[in-house]
Amino acid sequence: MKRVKPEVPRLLLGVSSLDQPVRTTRDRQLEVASRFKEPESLAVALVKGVAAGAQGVIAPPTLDVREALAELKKDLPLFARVLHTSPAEDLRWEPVFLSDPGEESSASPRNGKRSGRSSRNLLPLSMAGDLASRVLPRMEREVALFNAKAIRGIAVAAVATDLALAANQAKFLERVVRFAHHRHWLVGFETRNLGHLLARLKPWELSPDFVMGPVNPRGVGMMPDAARVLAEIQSSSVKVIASELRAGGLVPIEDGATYARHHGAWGVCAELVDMDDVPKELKGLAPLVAA
Amino acid sequence: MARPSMAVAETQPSSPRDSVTRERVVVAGLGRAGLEYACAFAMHPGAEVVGFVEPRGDLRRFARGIGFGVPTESSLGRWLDRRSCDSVIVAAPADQSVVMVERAVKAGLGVLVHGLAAMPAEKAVRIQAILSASDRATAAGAAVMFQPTFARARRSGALSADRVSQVRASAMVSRVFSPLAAPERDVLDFLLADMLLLLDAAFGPVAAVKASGQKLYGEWFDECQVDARFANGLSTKIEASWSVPGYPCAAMVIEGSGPEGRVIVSDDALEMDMPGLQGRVVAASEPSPVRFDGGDGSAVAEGYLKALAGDALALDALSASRATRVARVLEAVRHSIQADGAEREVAS
Repeated sequence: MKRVKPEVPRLLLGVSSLDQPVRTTRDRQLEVASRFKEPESLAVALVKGVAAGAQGVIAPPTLDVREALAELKKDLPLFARVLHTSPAEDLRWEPVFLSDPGEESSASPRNGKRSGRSSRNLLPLSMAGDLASRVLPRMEREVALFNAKAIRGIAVAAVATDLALAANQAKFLERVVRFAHHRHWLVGFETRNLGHLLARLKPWELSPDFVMGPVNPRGVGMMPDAARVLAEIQSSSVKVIASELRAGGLVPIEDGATYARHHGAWGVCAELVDMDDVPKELKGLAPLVAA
Repeated sequence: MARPSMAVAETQPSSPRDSVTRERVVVAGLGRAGLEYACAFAMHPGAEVVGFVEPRGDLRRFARGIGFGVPTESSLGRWLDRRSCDSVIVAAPADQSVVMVERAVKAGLGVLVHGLAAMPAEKAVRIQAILSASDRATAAGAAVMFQPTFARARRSGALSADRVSQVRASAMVSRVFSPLAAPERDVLDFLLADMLLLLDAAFGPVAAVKASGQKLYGEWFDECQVDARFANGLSTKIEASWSVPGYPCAAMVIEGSGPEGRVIVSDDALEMDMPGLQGRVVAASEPSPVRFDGGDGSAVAEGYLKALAGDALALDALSASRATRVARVLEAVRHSIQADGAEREVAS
């Protein structure tokens, strides 16, 4: 039977803010982390969020997220935020993707069977040439930590996207797109430099299913600047999922979503840290982002 | 000879980007920090990454594999023997940094040294001595010096010895629980150095310290408390810990009070209650210091290019003499901890 690639969602629920640095106050981040400390409370927020209109959940393969998903009796539509890195990487001297933490322990119970096979079929990372060769086995292993039936696609973390962007490495994005499409997944690239990335995608002649980056009325996190980001969104054929809708807490989430859609974003990603009442606020966003 | 940098490029908007003369930069040291600098300079319209220097073969291969196709050598000497550049960004371990800085200064190049304040004092002093002999731009990079709320507090004058007489400071982050935590680093060089940079920039040099430290989880210091006496007579209590759960990013807070009122500045917000200085400014509302967000290196790279163009605030934020003073304070803190909290003068 021919598999149909899913539609790029208009409304996503993001849970990366639970363990990644985000643009918000320290008190707010601690409060949200505390609220979703138990897997059950996170599970409830996720399932209610999807029921309220989120068409997918963007989630890193952390233990907290997987424990929450394991609490649920049904699969939620997942976009795996892959190439997960810890903020504690700054303890290392070496660059973040120099070594693969799973390479030596691919047979550990933490890793799925698929990851073990893929690792054995590839050269050691120390021999791998380009960035894609280094990280694709890791990406596959991280996706395999989720239930395969739940996976709708992948969102490549900004730390990898922006590295390839700065090195002008179109080949990385090209290979990741091929890798994901071969598995019938949607593929998106998260970036902290949306204007720069959209501008590069044109000469690179690449069209991932979506890119995701900050868009909000205060221009917070919009690189190189708000005007350039908006111009690139307008002129690009690539679908943009707007993130950081609340501009670090400066505007209500509805204003952020309305602004992003008005300026050409295909959809929005609402992060847990940006909402007090997840289902209620997602329900409020659903009509704002409808096609 | 120095080339015109970003300021020139920005005053000639009609010039196509490729025809604008850009600062030609070599990044020496391809660890995490070095690569962040490489990305930041590569994405800056006022700069061009023209080469890499790294003794480790795996790191050189990694940079090539990412897509940086610039000429790469195992030593700065070899690179400079064959090619030319304008500035060298040194992001290497302290031992290697001394040699690289020496070579770069000898070649008459601009030099930016990463992490000088956290280096062993002896190495930092040697590097500063070499830099001070240069007639080109020299700088010590630390991202904390470009954090928007602290920069605003310094600019406004709220955080200065003229306005406050009592100061407390704390720096917290969650790191010791990470499997990546290794004995070669501790909370002093990882975190306290940044706080000392902020305090020096606000209140001037520290003259003496009394300190205690705790090793909670291993052979390295996880927490420390410092009573610092500044040369101007002001004193402050500083706490630093990397054993606090729930802090993926470092939380830096400085509280000051005096006859005129009080000020609290953190990486979240700046709150001022003083005559002529009232209100609250949150970090997100401050203009971004960068046009490419590629980690800590981006703000420093932007600052360095501004400093080359003569920007006084950027020059001050990148002061190598301040970074060296902080390295000496850290050394005095270690001596004081070893002496059970006895006061130790900071070498000058």
